[in-house]
Amino acid sequence: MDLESQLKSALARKQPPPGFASRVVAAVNRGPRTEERGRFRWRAIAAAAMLTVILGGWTAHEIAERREGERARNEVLLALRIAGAKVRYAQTQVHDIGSKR
Amino acid sequence: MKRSLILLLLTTAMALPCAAQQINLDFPGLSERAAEEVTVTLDARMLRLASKFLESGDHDQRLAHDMIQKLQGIYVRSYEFDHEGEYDRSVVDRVRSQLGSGWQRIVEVKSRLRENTEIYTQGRGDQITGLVVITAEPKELTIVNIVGPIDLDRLADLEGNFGIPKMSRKESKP
Amino acid sequence: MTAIVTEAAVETALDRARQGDADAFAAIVSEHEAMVFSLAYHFFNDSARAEEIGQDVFLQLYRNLGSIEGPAHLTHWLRQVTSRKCIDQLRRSKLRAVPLEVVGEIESPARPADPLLDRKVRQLIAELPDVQRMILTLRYQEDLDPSEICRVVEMPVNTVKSHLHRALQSLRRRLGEQ
Repeated sequence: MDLESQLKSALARKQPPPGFASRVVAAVNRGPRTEERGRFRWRAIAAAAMLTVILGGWTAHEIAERREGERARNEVLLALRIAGAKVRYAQTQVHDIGSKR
Repeated sequence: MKRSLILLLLTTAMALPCAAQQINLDFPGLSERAAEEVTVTLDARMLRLASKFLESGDHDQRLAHDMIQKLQGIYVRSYEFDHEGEYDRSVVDRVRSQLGSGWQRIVEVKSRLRENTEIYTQGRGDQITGLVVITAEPKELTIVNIVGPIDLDRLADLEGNFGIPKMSRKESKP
Repeated sequence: MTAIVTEAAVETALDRARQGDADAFAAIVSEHEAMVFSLAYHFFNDSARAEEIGQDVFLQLYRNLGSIEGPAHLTHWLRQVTSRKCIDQLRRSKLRAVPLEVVGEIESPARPADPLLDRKVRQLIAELPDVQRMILTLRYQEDLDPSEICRVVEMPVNTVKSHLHRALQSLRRRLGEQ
């Protein structure tokens, strides 16, 4: 591997430890003075409500698609499991019968 | 007018092979009598969607992802009953009657006490393009229909690999 | 928390964050945390220090949301502030980068690379002078060319090229010796 590739590999982006974003937001919430923090909270509630109305369709669609996709994935795994078990059983029976003859 | 008619005929002809590989698994009354039921209905759209959610980092899901890439459908109906004789075996005849020319029975295992298994395939040359598996036991009936190219050996290898609870019907068998 | 997936979504999240939407700000943090953390981590080879820098950077972002003009500016701003904080902190505290043996490995995304070689390369990078180290990281972690790097570190482009050249020469020599 050449040096450029080695450097790209060695310096690839890494994820921070889990919960980093939450800790940042917690630090942000700790930072402002009490009255500002209160204002932040009310603004957050109002903005969240507005965000839900405006972006609700987009978010709901994504959530619905994810649910549907995960359900489909689980069904694929279940179906292949069942089909595989039945085929395998039949193959085993055929093999057993053949070996008895 | 003529062009649109030709187009219609062509698209119908293209759709027919897929339609022939998919069978009707609607059995009125069976659900109501079953103590447990597993129903899977995945057409091409749902398989493409599922494909996006199968994780490449997981060995089993990666295998499943590879297997379903060219499939057009996976359909499963599995019923478990409390007592023997609770389902009419003519249901199996109804499934068989849909498997006309083009379908070949490649396996038939008959047993008085254990399950009767039939495997039917439809193919083009060496490639299987449709699969129907029927297993009928005194207290269980399972029908699997897979539409699209499938490798039976790979399918058989998948059994027991997914880490999901087993169907609890085979481990107790001798 | 919904992941941000498009530039338009980042733009929207910025607007919402400016109005005090905590979820929107958290989404912005999630979107950029890997970049910020990695810059600091590759500079210090210290996860705890990298997290500390990362928190400082995002706190500063929160206080300066009004001055962020858009998604591209946000990325540039984060890179610039992170680089500056890393170098400033190192010079103030006169700390040396911690040798890699002392630090636990951070999980990287799976790639078909040689982890032992990666470790060796990172060790050698850690021994470079601080500005060379930061410029190298911006070049190979962020895939920036010298004209982009010079805007982040606020140095003339020829100075950046010179630092990069010296860093690569030093690494080639050290790797050749191993």
